[in-house]
Amino acid sequence: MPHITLGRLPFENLKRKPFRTAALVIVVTMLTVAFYGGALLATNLKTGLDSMQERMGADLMVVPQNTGAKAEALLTSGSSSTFYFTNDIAKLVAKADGIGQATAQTYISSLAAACCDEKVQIIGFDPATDFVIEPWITSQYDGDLKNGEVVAGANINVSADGTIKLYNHDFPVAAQLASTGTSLDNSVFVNETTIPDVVAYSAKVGHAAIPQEYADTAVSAVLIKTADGYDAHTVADNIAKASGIGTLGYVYPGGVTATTRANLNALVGYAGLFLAVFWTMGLVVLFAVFASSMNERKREFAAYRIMGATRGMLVGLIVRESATVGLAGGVIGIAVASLAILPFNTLIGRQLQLPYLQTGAFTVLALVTAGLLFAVTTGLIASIMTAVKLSAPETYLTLREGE
Amino acid sequence: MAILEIHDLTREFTRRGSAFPAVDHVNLTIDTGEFVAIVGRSGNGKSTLLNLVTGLLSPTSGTVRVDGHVVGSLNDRDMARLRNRTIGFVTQSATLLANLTVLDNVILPAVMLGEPAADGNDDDTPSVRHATQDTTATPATDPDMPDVIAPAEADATTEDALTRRARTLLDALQVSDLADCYPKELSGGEMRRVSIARALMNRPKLLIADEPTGDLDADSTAIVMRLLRQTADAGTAVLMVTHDPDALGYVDRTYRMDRGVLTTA
Amino acid sequence: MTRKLFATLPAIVLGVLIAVAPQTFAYVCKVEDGMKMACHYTAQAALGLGVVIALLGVIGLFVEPKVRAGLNIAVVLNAALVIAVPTVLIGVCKGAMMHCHMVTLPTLIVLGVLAIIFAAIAAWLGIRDAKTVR
Repeated sequence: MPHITLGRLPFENLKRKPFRTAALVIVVTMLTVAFYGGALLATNLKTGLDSMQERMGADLMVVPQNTGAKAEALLTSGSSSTFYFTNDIAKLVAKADGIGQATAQTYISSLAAACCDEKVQIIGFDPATDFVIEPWITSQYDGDLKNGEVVAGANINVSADGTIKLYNHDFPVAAQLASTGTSLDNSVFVNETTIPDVVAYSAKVGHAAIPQEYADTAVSAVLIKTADGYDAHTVADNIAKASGIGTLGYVYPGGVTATTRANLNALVGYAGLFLAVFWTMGLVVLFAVFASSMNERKREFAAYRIMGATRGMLVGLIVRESATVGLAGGVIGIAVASLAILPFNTLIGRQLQLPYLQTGAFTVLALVTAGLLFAVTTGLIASIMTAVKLSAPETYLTLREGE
Repeated sequence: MAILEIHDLTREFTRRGSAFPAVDHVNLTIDTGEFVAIVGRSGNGKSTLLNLVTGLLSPTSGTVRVDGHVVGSLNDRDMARLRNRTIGFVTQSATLLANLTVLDNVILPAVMLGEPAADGNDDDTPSVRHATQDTTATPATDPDMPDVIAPAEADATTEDALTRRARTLLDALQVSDLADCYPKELSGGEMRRVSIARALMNRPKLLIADEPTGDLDADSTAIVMRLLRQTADAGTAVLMVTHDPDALGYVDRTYRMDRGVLTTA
Repeated sequence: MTRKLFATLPAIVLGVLIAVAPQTFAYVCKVEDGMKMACHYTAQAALGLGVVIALLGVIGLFVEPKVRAGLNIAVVLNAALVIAVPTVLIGVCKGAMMHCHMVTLPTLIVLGVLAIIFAAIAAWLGIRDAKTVR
């Protein structure tokens, strides 16, 4: 073993005080887990929300009576559902004043045929009038969706031969989309004209999604982009007047996004507050440990002085000890939080019932760096009082009589 | 040649609002190779005097010169260098570092300033090296003691010059078998001897010993005092604070310190 | 004593978890109509690997440190298999929302990584100590 050097001294000091070192590292680890884990979760939620907002091209959704909540759930979380009215209502709606674009969509919640599959939301859209789904699909899939073909969301289990089995029928999958962190990942998209076939297949297996007689006419929602200068609520009033139906449901996707964002911000705010309190408490603990060890180590520091250490060396020693503790705690904390969060992102997204999308490697890397900086800084702050004392110009460390 | 010159040195402390001198107008000069002892009861300013000499405390008035440098006029870095290279300090208390092995404790002063000090250094006084070799040659030499040269050849990468010197010093003090122990495994006498080895590591011109025989038995006292005498004979100025009458037989001059005033005993 | 527990306990606990998790909380898809999905076999393989890892830990309690270091190397390699089974060797169901993909896969990966880290540290310490003793 090579002899001691000044550079190795901090590590020897840490190694020979395993319990003190372990306690300090554990405190920093916990703080880092809270900081880095919290930041990672918040970032993923925000990414999911942004992605959801991007997918919401409509200002207003007109849905059947009492299905507004279902429609909202369909937008924000993964729960799928089936609801419909007939397309003559859709035509009435389209006549109202203030509508820029309008398109009908049909939602069918399928029972999964293959083993272990989750329920799949089938979304039928009309390529002729669609302004919501098509732009997004074409950004990833170039080509027209033929009748009978589907485009699958990211979480859909496409079998090896490029099909998906729904209602015991194999639908060819034209493309699979990238993850969005929203319910759209659990959806398959079909042409409006494919819907009657889907209904027919469902009837064949005894789970008729929509009564056969409505198969050609059922739509679930009319998505509306308001004309310039019209407010979504005004348009909703116009629709009620124009159609003469007072019982339609209205969903404002913008409002849904805004509500979700507000909830999320409140959540992040509370989490941040909690983190600040937690950090302060942890810092107090670290502070106390360093301060008490300073008293314990007075004699040790005096010995360094006697041997010819400058004040700078003593400060450097303390700084390197605490930075090492901070770094170790940071590395462990980030490893623990990463192991707990990154592999389980699908599960977390599902449990949260909020749009949750794992951010890219670059952002994660930036968060890791921030987490490490946070940990080392915490370690340094904890030792700052000790360092200041040690660098005081009037000699603080002397050898006393009888010591 | 005077290594230590203390001129009219005073240091006052404030106790319960009134100033009192812990060290009162002290004059003292120690030359190369001289062995000087200061005796006196506890609380009479001996430790304060030593802290002033090493620059850990600054004087109220008067000057301390070590090897021509006025202590207190130097900045922290130069003062640290002086403490490291010119002064060796054997402390009264157990100031060995608990986290380092005995061997590393002895080596540490040599690596303190970044560059090795023990070999090829201009402070190098061959006579001190001679003295340590003398002591290894004394009959006290442990027969089991590993030959200083042989392992260096056998394992040249790990047994470098500093390690060799540290082992030589530990041999001289008959504690070489404790090299890999940690201080808490040592007895008081062993710790004292290790701290003497540490003080000698950088071949100081001035060796200060604060109660070096404080809690030692007669045999250990004899070993320590013989070594200090040999160190002085080899050209190092030695200043010792003690109240052990047995220790006074080895010194050249003895002073008494009483309420801060130094008088010839 | 502490060292011995540190070198064996993680393998025992993690081995048991690896064996038990796919059978319980991190369950895999049920076998339906005799159609066995990949995850079923992954669960079977994890059961075997987990038992082996746990047994290596138990054996480690009764042997000298040098042998224990060797056992820990075996734990590292087996834990690497625990990660390889659900990812490349056998795999799980493809659907991202399926339970075995969403829970079993990451659970096995995390348990495998933890087992590797603890066993690697224990093996390294054991080998280093064996050297200094010599």
